[in-house]
Amino acid sequence: MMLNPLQNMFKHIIPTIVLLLLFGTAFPQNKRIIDSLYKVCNANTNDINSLFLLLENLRFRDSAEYVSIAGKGIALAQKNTDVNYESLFRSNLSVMYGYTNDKIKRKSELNTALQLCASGNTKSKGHCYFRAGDYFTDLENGDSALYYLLKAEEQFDKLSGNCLMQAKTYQGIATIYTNKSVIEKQMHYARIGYRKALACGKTDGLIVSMFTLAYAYSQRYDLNHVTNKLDEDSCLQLYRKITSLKDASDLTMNSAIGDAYFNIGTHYYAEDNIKYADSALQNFEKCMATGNSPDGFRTALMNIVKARIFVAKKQFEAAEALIAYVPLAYPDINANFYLAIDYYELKARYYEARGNYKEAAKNTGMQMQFKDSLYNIDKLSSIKKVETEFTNYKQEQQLKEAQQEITAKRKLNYLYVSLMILSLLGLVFMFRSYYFKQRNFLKEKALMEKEKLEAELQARLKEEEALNAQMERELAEQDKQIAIQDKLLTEQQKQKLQQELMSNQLQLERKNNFLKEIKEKLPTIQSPQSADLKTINRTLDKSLEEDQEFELLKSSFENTNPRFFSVLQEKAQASLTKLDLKYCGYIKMGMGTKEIANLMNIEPKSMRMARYRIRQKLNLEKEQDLDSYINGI
Amino acid sequence: MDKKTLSIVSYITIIGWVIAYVSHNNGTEKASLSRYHLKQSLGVGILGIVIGIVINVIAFIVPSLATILSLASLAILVLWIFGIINAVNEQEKPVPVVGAMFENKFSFIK
Repeated sequence: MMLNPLQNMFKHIIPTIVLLLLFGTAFPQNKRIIDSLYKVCNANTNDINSLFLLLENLRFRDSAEYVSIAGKGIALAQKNTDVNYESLFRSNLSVMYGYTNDKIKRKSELNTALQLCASGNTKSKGHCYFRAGDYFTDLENGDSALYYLLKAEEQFDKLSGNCLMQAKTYQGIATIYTNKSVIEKQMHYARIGYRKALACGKTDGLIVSMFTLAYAYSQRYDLNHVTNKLDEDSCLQLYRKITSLKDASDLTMNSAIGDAYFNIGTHYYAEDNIKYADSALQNFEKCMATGNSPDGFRTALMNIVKARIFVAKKQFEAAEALIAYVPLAYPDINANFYLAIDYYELKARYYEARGNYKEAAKNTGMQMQFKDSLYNIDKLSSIKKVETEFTNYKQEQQLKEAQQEITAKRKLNYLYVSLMILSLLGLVFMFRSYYFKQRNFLKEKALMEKEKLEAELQARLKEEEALNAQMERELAEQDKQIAIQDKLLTEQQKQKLQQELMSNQLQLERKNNFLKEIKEKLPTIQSPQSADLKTINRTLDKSLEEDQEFELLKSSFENTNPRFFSVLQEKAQASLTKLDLKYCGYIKMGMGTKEIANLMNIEPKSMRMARYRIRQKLNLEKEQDLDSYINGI
Repeated sequence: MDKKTLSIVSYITIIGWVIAYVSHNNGTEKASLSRYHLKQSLGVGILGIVIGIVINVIAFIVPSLATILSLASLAILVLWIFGIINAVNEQEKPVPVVGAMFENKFSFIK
């Protein structure tokens, strides 16, 4: 055989017992306590604490009573709007429904309890989470169970005095890790649970934590007998410690002591080692001394082991008695595969030892049948495990993918956001540039217009300057012309004056002549008044003297018109005498030949000769008239 | 308020336009700059409303295109800002692309 049947047994008995403990069926119905609590509750219908204590002491199998007490408790809690007690009652009720396999009601009560305890105190939260963890463990949803149990642990850490619940919580966590085959975590939590139970100090909690730790040790020992050799001893030590607690004052889990004894016993006989058979039997006796187990499982198993010992010791009658007793202790033996395998294996051994090979073979056959079923179950469960692992793996992959998608999307988001920001900035700059361009454009336009105005003004300025210059020129010309005209005028005036002078001279000459004639005629006149005659003569002489003075003045006329004489000299090549010049002057003044002769006291003939000479000097032609020629200069 | 302020305010939402319009009507000197910009801002506003309605209708019918078309409302914003810049520079320049449409339309703005 591959597996030692007792080892097989050993392997599987503990979780069963542990689960039983978890269910709390290990509580014996302590009749006295219950009766006294009933009295208290009936006396005081508002005592919710006693009601809860009563509920905790009832057994789950008395479902009707349990439901009624729980109902009362819930009603009372609702009346007082006490969230904590209501959640406590409901969570305990859910456990009971679990026991009666009423899954729907269990789930509903649990959900209500969880909702309620969310606003409750630490104790109610701890209880609710623990029950939830329990529920999920039954559903084989290890992760949810773990979640709730860890939450329960958190709550119980804050409390003190809830030793049993705390220990059970740690037990639950360790069990989950057992199912997941993570031995380190199982050990870890079992140790923590034990430490905390020691600190807490209550016996029940201590017992539960010790069972948990012992089981962890045994699991580790099973992994590797060689390296974990000490774990076997640690395990046994813990069981012994449990048995030492049997006299503790606050012990309520009496069957736990029996279980400890039982485990020690089975361990002694685990290797089918006859050496320790007696020790095993002793422990079994002690176990039976502590009282019956709640159901026949432990009794049946113990009897199987005892029978096996007796067979090995060849005490066949005792063995036979025990073999017959097993089905009585546990009627539906075929329902429990482990028990069935061990039972039939025992019977096969018995018959083999007795020599009844036919029966032996039959029983071996039965055993094989059950082993196959178990194997199939095992296979199924391992397949399921692999499946769940695969789905887990797939989910993890999906998660990773989703996370990657999220990060990628986030990066994309960042990209979009940065693009938007860039485009916004671009827009802002565009607007700015447009604005400034317009401004510049306007400024430049204004500047250009100014320049145009300036240019225009300058042009106009230049025009005006040109005009000014022109006007000045005109003015200058006009001045010039005026000057010329003035000159002409003065020349004309001069000529006029000269002519006037000449004519005046002529007139004077005539008057002089007239006077001369008078003078000449005077002597002819004989008059008595010679004095008057003398005065007249004197006046006449005076006038003649004046005339001569005037002559001199006239000769100085040369100076008034020098140009005339210079031109004349030029024409005559400086051959004119002074007299000639005088002649010309008188001619210029407009005096005739005779007059000139009179004035200069010369004969007209000599005058004419003078004229002829002048003509020759001036180189005049025969046709040219001297007078006109001289006047023309 | 002077014509530059008036033309800028006319671009700031409908309320601003109403304020500017009332002020323009009640004022003594009706500058051509403010008249011009009142027309432009009204045009841009009406265009914005029309585009909003169009986008909503399209979003109702074809939801996927809506996000892309909503960029058109960004275009309205851009036009609006151009208009404000023109007003600030006291230029009677039309808003790009669509401004030419609004130059001679609203004859009730005198």
